[in-house]
Amino acid sequence: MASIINSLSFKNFFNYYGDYDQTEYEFKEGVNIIVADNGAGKSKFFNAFLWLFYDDVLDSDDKKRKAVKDFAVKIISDKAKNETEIGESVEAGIKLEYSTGRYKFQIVKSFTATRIGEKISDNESWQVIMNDIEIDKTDHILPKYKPVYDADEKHRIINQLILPTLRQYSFFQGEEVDKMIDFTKKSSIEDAVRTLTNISKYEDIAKIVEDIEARAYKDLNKQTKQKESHNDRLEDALKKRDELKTSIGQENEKLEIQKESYTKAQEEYELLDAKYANASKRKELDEKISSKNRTLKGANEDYQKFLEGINNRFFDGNFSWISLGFENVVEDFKNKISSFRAARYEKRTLLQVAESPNDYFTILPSNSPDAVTLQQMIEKEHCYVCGTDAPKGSEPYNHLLKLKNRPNDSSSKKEFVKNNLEDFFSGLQLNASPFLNKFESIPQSVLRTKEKELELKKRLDKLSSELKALKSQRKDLLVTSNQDEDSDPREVINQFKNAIKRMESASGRIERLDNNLKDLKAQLSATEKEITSLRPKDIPEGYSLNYEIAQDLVDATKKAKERVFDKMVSLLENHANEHFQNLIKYNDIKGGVLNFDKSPSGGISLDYIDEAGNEVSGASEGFQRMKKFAVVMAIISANTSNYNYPLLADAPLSAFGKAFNKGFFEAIPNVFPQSIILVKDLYDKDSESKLTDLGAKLVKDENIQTFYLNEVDGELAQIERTTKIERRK
Amino acid sequence: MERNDILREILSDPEIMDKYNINEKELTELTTNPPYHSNIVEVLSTIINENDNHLSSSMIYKKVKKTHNIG
Repeated sequence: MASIINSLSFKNFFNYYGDYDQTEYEFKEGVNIIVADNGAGKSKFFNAFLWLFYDDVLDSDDKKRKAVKDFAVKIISDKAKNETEIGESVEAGIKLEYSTGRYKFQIVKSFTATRIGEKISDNESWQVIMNDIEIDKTDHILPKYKPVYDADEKHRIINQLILPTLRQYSFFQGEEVDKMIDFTKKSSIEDAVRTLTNISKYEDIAKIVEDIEARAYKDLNKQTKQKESHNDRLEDALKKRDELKTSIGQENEKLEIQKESYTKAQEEYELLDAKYANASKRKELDEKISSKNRTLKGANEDYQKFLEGINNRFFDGNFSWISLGFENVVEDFKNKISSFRAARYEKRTLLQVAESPNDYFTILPSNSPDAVTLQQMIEKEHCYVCGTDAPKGSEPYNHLLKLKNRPNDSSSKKEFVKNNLEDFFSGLQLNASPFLNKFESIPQSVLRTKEKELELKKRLDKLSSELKALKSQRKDLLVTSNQDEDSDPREVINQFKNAIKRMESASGRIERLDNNLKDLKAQLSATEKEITSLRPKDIPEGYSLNYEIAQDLVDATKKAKERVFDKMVSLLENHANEHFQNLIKYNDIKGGVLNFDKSPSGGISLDYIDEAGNEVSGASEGFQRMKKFAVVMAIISANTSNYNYPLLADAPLSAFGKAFNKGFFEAIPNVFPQSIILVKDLYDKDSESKLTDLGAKLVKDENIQTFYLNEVDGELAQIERTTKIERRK
Repeated sequence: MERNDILREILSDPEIMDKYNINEKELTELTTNPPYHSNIVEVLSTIINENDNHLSSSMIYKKVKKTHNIG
């Protein structure tokens, strides 16, 4: 019976904060989907199985697996850590329930951490104790779980969920599809065939029959010697046979060495091919990063310039922000300055009147008569104002002189107030005048500036986050390819060309050695026949028959082993094509087939060929992955018995593309009795349902049994962030 | 049964079938249990069965010799 996961729950496991009953997924037979954006618990879900099977978790920083006991502090939810006081303990764990026909099992793996220090993220602040694995078992008929104590049985129960030899086909992350089965490595396809066939039995039998042949040959020779003391021709033939056997052995050794060289060269070729592709991708990203850096720098300068410009807007007459809130002051000032001036004028006038009353009680206008008229009046000694004579030395004459010499500037005027603020207030009025007509436009201007600031800030944030994404992609490229930051592309190209040369040269040698071996085997066969004819006739028939049958079985067993291998490869090819056609059902690429081709070293290469038999190259990454995924599905479906284990896949769709995704969800139930697919590609934060169109369709699809949506409030601080699980189906 | 399948697969080689007079029908009916069709079937059955019993090749050889009456 198939293993079906009924539920998986967490306790303070990364972002899955809270007890097991608060963070639980329930699953059914068939397809189960968990949709989550980055950081919403997708990889952490996958980590639960790494813990279950291998006591490891994946460190998302360097994409390397770490032992749970060494990584425990990072595993505990930040919120839970923060809520734990010094001296108190917190538990983190995973709980899984699965069924296999009659039985149901519940597995709990956990640890307890006691806080002993201030800084919650420091390993030194926590004392971690790994708890015993708890496994309970129940018969579907019995109502109660009973604990399992035996360590071997516990181990068996965990392994039974997905057998270790099959985990590579059942339990993987998106990128793992690439690594899962590498057809350039002879061992990869052999491993798959070995898992699917009883080829190791043929290998055992081949070894036994070779040993039996050697023993039978010895026994027959012993009999020959006993019956006939000397026969030159026979002796020569036997010697020749031994020499030929030795030569065949040597040639076989050489052949193995050449096959190994070919395999190594081919592996290097594939590795460098990937590195070369990786290096070009890296170069492309570097260019993008550099250009993005420049744009970001420019945007930052714009922003800084803008911020600096804001100060000027307070005092710049075009903006006049400084006067905001002073609207009433203008009227107030007007009134006050008017009162001030009236009072001042009154005071001055009164003072001057008191001092020179005659100056102020005249019918003439002020400063009349003017200086020219006065001069004429002095010269004529006659006052034109009152029409009387003013002879020199007389009082009217002196008065005319006094008028002519009267002071004509205000500076000579006597101060009549203690502090003369007239100039100060006039200056204020003058300086404030440009601001007076701006009051109405200031709020609008401030609003526009604020909008501009937000716009610039948004652009800056967008560019920063794009730059971060590019840098992260570049880091991922380095991590996945295990490359140094400074690896030289020219060196890669030289090594790449060298690998191709070595492959060609090894391939040529393999061909020559194969031909040599054919010749040697033909000679051996002729010599064997000669030996048989020369042997004494009175040797008991059993000895000859013993050797002859052993000889025939050596060849027959080798051929049988190759046939079994080839048959399985051909079966895989048929199954892979069947799955592949289903997977690409909704794509435009049609008409071609997957072709498994044998390389000189015995490895299998996987090509996609069109109807005319030409290799189709340059297909997208998603297409390449789909191709490999079809082979993985083939390995499973080609198994003579039904595949009894769930598929646990972390985001295998990221590079597949929409059309592939649709085909994928339709095709997987044909192979896996249960599949749990964690995917971000169906998440759309801007949509009301938070799902893409395909996501919304899948919720309604009858093939989909359960559908979950995970969300994390990105606005919250990391220490407060928790994954919320929402069941949509 | 797996043992019978292995036996039939190895003996399905045309040269062997021809040399030891095994026809297609007989091939499909061959088993690793006695009575045996021929000497080669008995030898190979002994090897397949005793390998499953984890006997060493020298011990298997002794049993093979017995099938040829030379042990």
